[in-house]
Amino acid sequence: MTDIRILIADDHPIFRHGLRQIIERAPQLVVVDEAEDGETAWQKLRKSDADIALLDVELPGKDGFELAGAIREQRLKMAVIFLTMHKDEHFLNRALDLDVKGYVVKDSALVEIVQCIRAVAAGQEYVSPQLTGFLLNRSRRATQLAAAKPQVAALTDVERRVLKLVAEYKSSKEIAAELCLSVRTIEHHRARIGQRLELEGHHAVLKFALEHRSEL
Amino acid sequence: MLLAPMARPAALLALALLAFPAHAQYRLDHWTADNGLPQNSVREILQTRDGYLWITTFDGLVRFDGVRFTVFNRGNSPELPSSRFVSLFEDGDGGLWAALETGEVGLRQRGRFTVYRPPQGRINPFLFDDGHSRPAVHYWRAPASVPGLVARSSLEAYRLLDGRFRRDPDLDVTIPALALPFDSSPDIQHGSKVIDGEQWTVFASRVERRSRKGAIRVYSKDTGLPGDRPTLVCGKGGPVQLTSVDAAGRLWLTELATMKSELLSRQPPDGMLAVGSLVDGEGNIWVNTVGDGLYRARRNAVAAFGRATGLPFGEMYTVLERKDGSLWIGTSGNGLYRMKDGVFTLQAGAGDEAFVVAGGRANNLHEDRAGDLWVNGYWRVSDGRLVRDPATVGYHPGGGFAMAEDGAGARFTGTADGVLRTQDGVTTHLTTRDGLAANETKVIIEDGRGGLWIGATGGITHYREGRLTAWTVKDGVPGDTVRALHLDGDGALWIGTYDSGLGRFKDGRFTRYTTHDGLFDNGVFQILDDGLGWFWMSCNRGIHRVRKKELDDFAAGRIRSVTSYAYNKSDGMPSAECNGGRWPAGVKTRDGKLWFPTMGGLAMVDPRTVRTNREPPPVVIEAMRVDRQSVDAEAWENAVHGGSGAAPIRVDPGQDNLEIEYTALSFINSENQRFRYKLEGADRDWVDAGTRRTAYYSRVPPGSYRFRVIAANADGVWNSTGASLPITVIPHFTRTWWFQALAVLSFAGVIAGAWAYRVSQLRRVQAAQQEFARELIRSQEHERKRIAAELHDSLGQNLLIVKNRAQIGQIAVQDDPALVEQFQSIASSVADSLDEVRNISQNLRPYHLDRLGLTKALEVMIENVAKTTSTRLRAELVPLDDLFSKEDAITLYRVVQEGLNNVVKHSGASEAVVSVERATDSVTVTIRDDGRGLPPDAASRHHGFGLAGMAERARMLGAVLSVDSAEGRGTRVAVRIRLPIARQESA
Repeated sequence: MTDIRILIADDHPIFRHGLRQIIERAPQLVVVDEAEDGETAWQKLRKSDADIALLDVELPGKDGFELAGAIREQRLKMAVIFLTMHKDEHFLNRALDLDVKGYVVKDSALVEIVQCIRAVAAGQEYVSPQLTGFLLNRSRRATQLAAAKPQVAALTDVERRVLKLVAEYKSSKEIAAELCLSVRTIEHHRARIGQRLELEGHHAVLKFALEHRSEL
Repeated sequence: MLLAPMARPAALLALALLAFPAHAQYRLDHWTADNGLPQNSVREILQTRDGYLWITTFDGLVRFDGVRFTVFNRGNSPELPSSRFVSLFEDGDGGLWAALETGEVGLRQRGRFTVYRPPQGRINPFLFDDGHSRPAVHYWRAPASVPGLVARSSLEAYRLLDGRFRRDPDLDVTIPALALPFDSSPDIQHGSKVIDGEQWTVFASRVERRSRKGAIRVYSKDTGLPGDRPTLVCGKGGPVQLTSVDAAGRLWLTELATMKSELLSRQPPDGMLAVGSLVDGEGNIWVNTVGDGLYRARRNAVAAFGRATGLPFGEMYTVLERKDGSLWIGTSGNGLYRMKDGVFTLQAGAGDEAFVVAGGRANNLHEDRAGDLWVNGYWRVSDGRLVRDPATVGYHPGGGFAMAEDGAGARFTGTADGVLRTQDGVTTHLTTRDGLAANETKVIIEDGRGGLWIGATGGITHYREGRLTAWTVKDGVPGDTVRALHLDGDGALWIGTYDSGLGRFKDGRFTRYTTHDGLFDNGVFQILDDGLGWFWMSCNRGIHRVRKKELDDFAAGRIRSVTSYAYNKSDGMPSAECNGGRWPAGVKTRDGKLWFPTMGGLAMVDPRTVRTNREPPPVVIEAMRVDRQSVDAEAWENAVHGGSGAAPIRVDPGQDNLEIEYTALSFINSENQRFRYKLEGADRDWVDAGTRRTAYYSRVPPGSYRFRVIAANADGVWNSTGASLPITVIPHFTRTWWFQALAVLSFAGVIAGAWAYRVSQLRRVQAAQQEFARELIRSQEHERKRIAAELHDSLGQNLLIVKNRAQIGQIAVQDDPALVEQFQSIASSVADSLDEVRNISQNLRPYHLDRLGLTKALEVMIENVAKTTSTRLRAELVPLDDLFSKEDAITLYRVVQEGLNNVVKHSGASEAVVSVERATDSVTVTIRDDGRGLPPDAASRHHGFGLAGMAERARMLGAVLSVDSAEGRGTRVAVRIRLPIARQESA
């Protein structure tokens, strides 16, 4: 079995060192680099062959959300694990929207981190047990949505992606750029989504997307 | 009866056991966040040669003058990368170097920091002297791999060469047994410092000192330290003392040179002691702690005996030294004692008749010329018993208060009803009828020529060979309540009173001294001449001393006031309340020590060790403000450091109010330092500022001035050179010749001009007020953000570490259920604290705003408010992110927050809607409710209901707040913000 290579970004030196020691005591886990602010982390991540990026959400400079977004946009290969001080539902949802694979609250980071890294390295997802309540909310809302608007299931993949990006407050122009489609096509998709979901009015699609952002 | 020593062994044994445990003769002063310290964790402390104390905290570098803390951190020095200072060094040129936790090293010069970056990945710096009075820095070098819990590790050295910190392996040091941050070991290493080429490493229970040549000396309990947890106490040239804490939790101070230890405090500080403490230039010991602030220890002037040395009571009334050198103490309600080396031995119980007649009190002790001890006037100690002198039978039943013998060998006993003269077993009763000034006698002393002075409530009387001469208040006695008499070597009689001050009687003339003349207190229960030029007196507020020469000079009219120095509980007295009206109310023993009975025991002063601080304190002018604005930093430096050719501080016309802050740097009773200042060119005389450290001037006329300030330390020694600052006030244009010419030429024009000027000035004032309000809001937000970040970064992170450690501990001890439970309970209380920190910092600064953007933050806020109110809240928000700067975003957030607050608190609405609408060139935020509406004048005047704050914030956004409300028909508050062209939505 090959080593799991990890990059740690956390601005608190003592915490970072503690984390590093715990991780390095576990077999096959190797910390390849550290960063203490978002800018440095990003410079290192771009060139890094790490398997896992362990990111503090509250990094100075670029924060964890920005880094995770950038990793997704640049299609970097590493999986992202968030460390955070906040047991916050909105944070968790945003993280999951950004394709973050592991979400660990710092309260118990040193106990959980090794387990989390192994799970994520094995392709699974990991969320601190303290936060599973929020996960339940998320899936409950998704179920409710499916019941209230069964048409959602009928959306095509592209429509669903457009809707997700709308929920991130992206303009048609930005969505077009991201999906490599023309603005006109995106406008068309937006109109189709409105029709399929039976939404009427100027901002109706946006409102729907926002209200159900975490379930899409 | 008097107790023979063997008669009551039980009592003796008990007292001997209680006697004289080591007691601290140090006074401790304590500073924490509650009384001015910016943070309770003080990492290092240093005294710079200008006299200031500097300390490092995680909230900045802090300067201390003994009274005021001045903080330098990111808030006022934006060039700093963080505020978490750890280490300090002063170089040979007086430059102050301070290192940050993250490795950067800053040089503080002319009020600013020059920051040197650390080498990659190096943190936890220690600054030290490279051997040439230049800074060098050691970085903690983590071991590359972790072979076990404990490893050898090294400190990697860098020294400043040609403006850069360069690696210098010659200065590297190795530390044995370095513990890892998340592990614990009984021998955890607390720090290592290189001082003057020697490496001092502090462990949990020992200090290792490694010389240049590698010789190691260990200081521990085995080599004479009284306890564990040692810290170094550094003077100018390195460590001179060590502190340690013994098994009973007491804090000890050990001299390195002699390994002699003394008790510093019965109770150690709460926090962890930092690695190094400081002894300053005046001998104060500064103990800095991680978590419990800063302590100053200073040897007490006064030693306490009695309760302090284990006696179960404290009230003492009389004290006497006998010819054999033994010290005898009369108490109230506890009989008569002898004391030797702090051990009190009971000699006669309070049940003895001698005390019973006096209500249990020992009112008088006297040893006659034959060497017999007399107690309460009528009783003589004979063969270990108190025997009533038959010659006293039939006189005042309460016993005596004073006793003395005249040249003829007659014994005089002062009672509440006159004086008894006893000779050859025959007693004569003297009263006012015979010529006494008063009957209630309190004190009798010999006049040195065979006669006596008798003091009583009502006056004083001189007795000689049967002749009585009396003086009362009418003749000049300072008061009726005479308590003490003292005859000095010049033949002057000194009179102490209970409440009327001190009197001097010489050559038929009385002089009176009271608090008006500089006496500390009008109570003078005893007067002792220490033989060193001082009179020591006792009163209800402690003991006080005055130079005898000053008293004589005052009497001769050469000076108009005297200077008193006072001592009370904070100087070590067992109680400030001294006892008097019984004799002797204090004694100077032949070893030169002075003893005073108090309500808490005996107070002892050794006048030879009481030092007046003769060092004039350095005086510094710290800052100047003109109309509440600090003077420009550049101009300030030029004025302060420019020497004689310094460029004066310029005060422009129209700037009316000058404030100048100054200080003096003595750390002995710093708060009692006194100041005088004057503005040369304006003030004729010195202004006596007392202890005030700010000078105020308003409307100084145009001209050139020099502000001078001088200071005296707490013992009244003046630095009369002081410090000075040149100031120039520029004339207003109305005072220049051309303006006056213009005025003559065009009177009407001037009127018009003045009118226009007045109007514009009013406008300026109004604009300034609005700007001030906005600035206040901005700085409040900034401050909230800073505190939230600090809470999160420092307290929060530390709690996280504790919690994590508790959890790791829980796993490590899983076989022991009791320990597991302990760890669990630690983890869960820390979790509660963490939640609290999170809540507080969320209230100060909504973290969603910084991470998830304005729209989401507003959503979360509305959601959270909805949980706490019965009003139904709805949000209709369009995306707003990236439209506003961070500062504008928080302002807008607060507008909505205040608006919602109003709705929830005042409106009584059943439904409220927050909507954000976006037009091409603007954003409109509306909060409307269906509640009871605003009273008519509130809407128009924006008064109350938080509307003023909302309006001010709206103005900061360049927007206008409109309020639309009618009583009973709800309220609609709207803010329309025009967007800058660049942000307007493209069609």
